[in-house]
Amino acid sequence: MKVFLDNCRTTKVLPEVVQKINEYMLEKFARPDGLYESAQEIYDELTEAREFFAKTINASSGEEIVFTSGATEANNLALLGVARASRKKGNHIIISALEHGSVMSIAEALKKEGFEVTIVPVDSEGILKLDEFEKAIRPTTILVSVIAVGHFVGSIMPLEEIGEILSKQDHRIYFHTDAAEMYAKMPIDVQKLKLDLMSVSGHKFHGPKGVGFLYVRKGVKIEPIMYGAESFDKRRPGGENVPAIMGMKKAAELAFEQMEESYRKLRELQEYFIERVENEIDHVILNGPRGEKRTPYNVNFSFSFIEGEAISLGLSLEGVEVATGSACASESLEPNYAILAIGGDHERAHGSIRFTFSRFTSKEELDYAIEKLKKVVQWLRNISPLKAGR
Amino acid sequence: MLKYTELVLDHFKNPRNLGRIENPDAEATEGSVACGDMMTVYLKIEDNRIVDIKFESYGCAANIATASMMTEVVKGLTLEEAKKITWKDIVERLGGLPPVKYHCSNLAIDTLRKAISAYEESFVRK
Amino acid sequence: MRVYLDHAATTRVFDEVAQEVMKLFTQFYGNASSTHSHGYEARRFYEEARTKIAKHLNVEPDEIYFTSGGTESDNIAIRGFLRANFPNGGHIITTQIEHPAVLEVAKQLEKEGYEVTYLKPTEEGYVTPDDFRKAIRKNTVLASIMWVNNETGVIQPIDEISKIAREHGIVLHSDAVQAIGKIRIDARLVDMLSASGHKFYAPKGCGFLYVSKGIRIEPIMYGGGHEKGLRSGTENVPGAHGMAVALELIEKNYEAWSERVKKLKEKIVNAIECIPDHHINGSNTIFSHINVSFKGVHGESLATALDMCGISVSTASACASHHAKGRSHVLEAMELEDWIVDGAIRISLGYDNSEEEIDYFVEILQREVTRLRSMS
Repeated sequence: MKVFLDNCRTTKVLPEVVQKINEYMLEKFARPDGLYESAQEIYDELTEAREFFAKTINASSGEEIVFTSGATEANNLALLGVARASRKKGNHIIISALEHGSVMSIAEALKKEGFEVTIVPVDSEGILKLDEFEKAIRPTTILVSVIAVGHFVGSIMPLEEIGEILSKQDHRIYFHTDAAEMYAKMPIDVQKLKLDLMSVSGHKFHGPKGVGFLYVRKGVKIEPIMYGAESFDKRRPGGENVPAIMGMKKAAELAFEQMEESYRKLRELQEYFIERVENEIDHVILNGPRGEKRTPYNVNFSFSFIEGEAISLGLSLEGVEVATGSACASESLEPNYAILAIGGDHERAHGSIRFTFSRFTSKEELDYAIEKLKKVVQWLRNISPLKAGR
Repeated sequence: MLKYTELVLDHFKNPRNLGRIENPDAEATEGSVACGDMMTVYLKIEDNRIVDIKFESYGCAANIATASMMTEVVKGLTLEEAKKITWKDIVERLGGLPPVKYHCSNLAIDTLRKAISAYEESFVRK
Repeated sequence: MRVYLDHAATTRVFDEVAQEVMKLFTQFYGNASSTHSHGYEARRFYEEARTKIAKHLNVEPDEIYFTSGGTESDNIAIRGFLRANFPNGGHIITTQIEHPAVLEVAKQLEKEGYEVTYLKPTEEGYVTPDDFRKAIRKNTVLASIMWVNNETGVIQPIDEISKIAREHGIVLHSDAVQAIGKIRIDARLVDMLSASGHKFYAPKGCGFLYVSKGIRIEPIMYGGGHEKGLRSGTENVPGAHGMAVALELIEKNYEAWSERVKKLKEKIVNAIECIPDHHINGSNTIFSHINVSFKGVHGESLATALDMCGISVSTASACASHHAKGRSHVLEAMELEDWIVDGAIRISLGYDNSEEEIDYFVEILQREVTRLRSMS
């Protein structure tokens, strides 16, 4: 049996989505900017797609949706674009300690461009410390970027409270969130959360890779990061990836239909999984919060005395795919910063395994995964010189 | 992105010479949990020859595989011969390792040499 | 009958390419950067695609970087190169006939303090090596000259310009978006080259950038450090693979296919020659393009009339037509007469056009030009 529990990294593209992509590769392949009928059709469908995505997040119009090549580009456009456009107003940016790697990298790049970045810590569950956040705000703060759902430890950030705090400030601070792990999994209302910008990635909810979008509230000044032909959208030039966009739309339609039910089902499965692991394997630490503060799509445990890459490879050889926060598995040989950010030490990072579900994950799959997990953990603990109490 | 050879995967799945030796003639531990790589090596030595060697390891697949291969290579060698084995020898015997993992085979050799040194020093003192 | 003659705008993916892409979607959905088996498979396709594309261009695989398309490639090439090597200014040579993806970048660079010379094309639609040489200054740091013009199809003298650039040690970038898959390209002639998948029967949303070893270049986007840090973002494996498959198919069938399209173009040109008061815009054009104007007929009216008969062509540049005022900056730069600029339509053939389609097109073209003229 093969069990894929690394859905945070990528998800399987659904047949209905594949069909859509095929349709737009082979039949409806025209560009939206042609003068002929088939082009006009594409233009209309793209406009409709923007309206659709806008509705899914309660944005006020389809024009607030900018299609990109994915969440990384969306994050770049949001952060670089807004920071550079607002340079005259200020140069201070606030992010959380649990941002996705791309946001961290962009922040580093912005520092080189003369911006100052404050990284607000999270608590031991991975939730942003709101008091520290509020204290970090300066008169020169122009932008805040806080991930919606932490991708490593699954913590749901208090976006509503952050929006509230920002709205009370005496100057305008733009609020961005990387919602890749929240979109189509939990409801997002950009008005309620007072968001100005939001990044979404197509391949996280069974859509294709190479596509995503950035929500940009009307009125937010943003400098493009690329220049070129402004056929459909001045903020993001270049030929639109119509097949991928329409595929992403299909994937979103399907996801939203099932969103609430999936949330409930996965919450049950998540509790089941956590309970079994905690009961049947000793010396485990749950990383991240429990209950409602955690996305039901994510479980993350550290296993004492053994190392994460070995665990994940051992599991992979048994047909179970997961992810690890161990340094040994990363190209840079650095332990996962998320575990360190929640107060864990290097050992805890090295022994961490992230299990991420999709709405199609079944109890049978989890049972299989748990059996293999127990086997692999036991076997690696036999090899390890570290023992409890030693 | 790490691609391991069949041999590495084999040594990872079926490590040779795993475990401890009761009353070893030499024992050494190198690495640390904080680094994510740690190993303990136990030696049984007769007439300056390694007649038995066992290891325990905390670390990634490359760590376990290099330790296992190292024990296979040095078992039966004299101490002098064992001291000459380098991390490159181990990597070669495994059919190669991703360069980012070379330090794991370093660890295996370091641990072995530390054990041999500990033995030789204690021998001298006797 | 529907006849698609706007291949310069975009192409329909080859059936085989679509199949391969679908295969990647349904069978292997690993993330090429992840450590498990799905990831390995994905990585393998990705790297094989890189190798094949490199071979097609006569360069090394590690000189090929995957991007989201031609526009992004142009942006990375020009802005990334300047950022890494000449962040404080310098002189750039480009042309008046570049695609907006290069022109807009150049305009933005002027705002940032760079000096830009826009070479004027001849009436025939190409920039001359002589003009290029004359434009070189002591502080020229980069040149960006397109390989084939997207509106006219005129093949630019890259060979000679390359020699001159090398003589003077100027880094040369070429937007080869309209050349790839149509003419054999030896990328060694230039230092950087941009391409876009959906122009050569590969999927939309993907492209690549060739950067010669030894050229330092910085990213314009940050993230996980993919593509050796030059282009971060989850790898678009289906896109990359699709591009490699498309180029392989084209290479395999090039003689037969290009001959066939050349004959189709001949048919159209012959028919045009029979229509009085016409002007074919540009000379030394690639076999796919015919940019033509008919006196007394406005380009947009003709395109619309053709559309009503099921034929898709374009006017001005596809890129300009949707919202800007649709006057071709390329034809204007060529200093062609007003009736030529206003009357121009661009017919761009593809490997999937049939003789039947072209016969139909020629018939309708003659009919509609006559009809529209009688109305003006």
